[in-house]
Amino acid sequence: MDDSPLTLVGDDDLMPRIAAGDRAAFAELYRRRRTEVYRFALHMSGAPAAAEDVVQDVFVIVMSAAKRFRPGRSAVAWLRGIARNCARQRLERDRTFLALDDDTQGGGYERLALNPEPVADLTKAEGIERVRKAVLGLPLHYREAIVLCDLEEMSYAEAAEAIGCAVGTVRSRVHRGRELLARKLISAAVPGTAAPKVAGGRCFA
Amino acid sequence: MNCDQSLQALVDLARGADPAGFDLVRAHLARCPSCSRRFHDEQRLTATLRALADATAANAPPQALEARLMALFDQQVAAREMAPIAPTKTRVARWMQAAAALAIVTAGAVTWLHVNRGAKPAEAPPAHARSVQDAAPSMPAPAPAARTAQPVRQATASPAAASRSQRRAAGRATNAPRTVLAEGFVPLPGAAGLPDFDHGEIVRVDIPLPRLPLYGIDIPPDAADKPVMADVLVGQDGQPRAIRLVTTGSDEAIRKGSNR
Repeated sequence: MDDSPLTLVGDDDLMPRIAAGDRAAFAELYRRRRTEVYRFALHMSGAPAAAEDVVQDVFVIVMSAAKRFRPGRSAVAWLRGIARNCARQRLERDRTFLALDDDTQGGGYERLALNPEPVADLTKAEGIERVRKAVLGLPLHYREAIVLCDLEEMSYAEAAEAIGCAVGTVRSRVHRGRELLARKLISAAVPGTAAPKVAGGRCFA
Repeated sequence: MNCDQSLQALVDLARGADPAGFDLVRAHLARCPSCSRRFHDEQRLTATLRALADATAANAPPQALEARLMALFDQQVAAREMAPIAPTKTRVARWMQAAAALAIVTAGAVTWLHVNRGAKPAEAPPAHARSVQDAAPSMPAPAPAARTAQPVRQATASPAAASRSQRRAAGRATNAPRTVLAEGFVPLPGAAGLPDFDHGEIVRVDIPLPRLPLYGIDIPPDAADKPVMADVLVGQDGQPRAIRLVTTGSDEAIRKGSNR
């Protein structure tokens, strides 16, 4: 086994050590990835307690399933996949989060365009809270695509590996999720205004 | 490029990606106000989401969680290290059970053979068995099976380890008369209450000299505190029946008996 200091060992190479019962390797992986897993779970659930539970579930699975980790695979992607599954299981158990809006409506960007700077204000604290709630209000599969790609800034390929679907599927979910998010933000920015039901704009330039 | 074609690309462009056909998308945006407006909205949405990401970047799980997980890891490793022992124990137990069953069947068969061969003359018993038969009326003669019994077994364990019941019996010892056997065997104080001797074996042990009175052997008051070698006669039930000191010369008799 490699005797390099653990800080120099890649995530992939930590896995066999963890499988062999190396305590320090497990601690190293946890310290490297805990924040990412926690943030993902927090964005998905909106509840710190649930996010903490998800982190615990993820790393308990890691310690028991490390021996099944196949060499040559990305440990980070594997970890993200576990995190995604744990978060979804937790959400399905709880179902105490924000009600989901109907996502069958199309369009929304004309309304966004009518308001000169509806999103600019959102960089402020209250705006950020509004965005957070809007993300939580997205249907689950759009939410996880937005969280992975726009909040955690993963590539489509990385997100596809974590979710276990095609890259094209992730891309379309991100696009659709952003569209729904824009509609929610417009509704939130102009109280009393329902999410616009406008067909997608079209031009023939 | 038309609007349908540019739609996907402009979202990716606004997210900071570098989609293929970048120049074509730029060219389309320059001449399409609707798509250009959409592009700017997407850029603002990206900035908003980045602001949320930045605001939550410092969030981390509590420190206590790491301690909990490390404790779980330690438990799991410990459990994994113990796991391989269990099947081994089970296998050993199975073999022990099989061996015990075989021994019972063998003993039953030998007994049956001897019962049905009652007319045949028995072989001369070995010296140690003969001594028990001759000198201890309270102990019936060993069965012929004992005559083919094991040779003397050397044991370094203390008599206490050989039998706790023997020690307990010694503690309850009364002033019952002690019979010295012809071959030097002394019945142990607690042996009187045991089932009749049928067969057994002699186990050689080291005993601290001051303990000999507990087993029914008197010692001089000024005896040195050193271990002495003794033979313990153990019955068919594993209980010790009698004891003798090897230094009495009876070891010669045992050796003769063993060589037969």
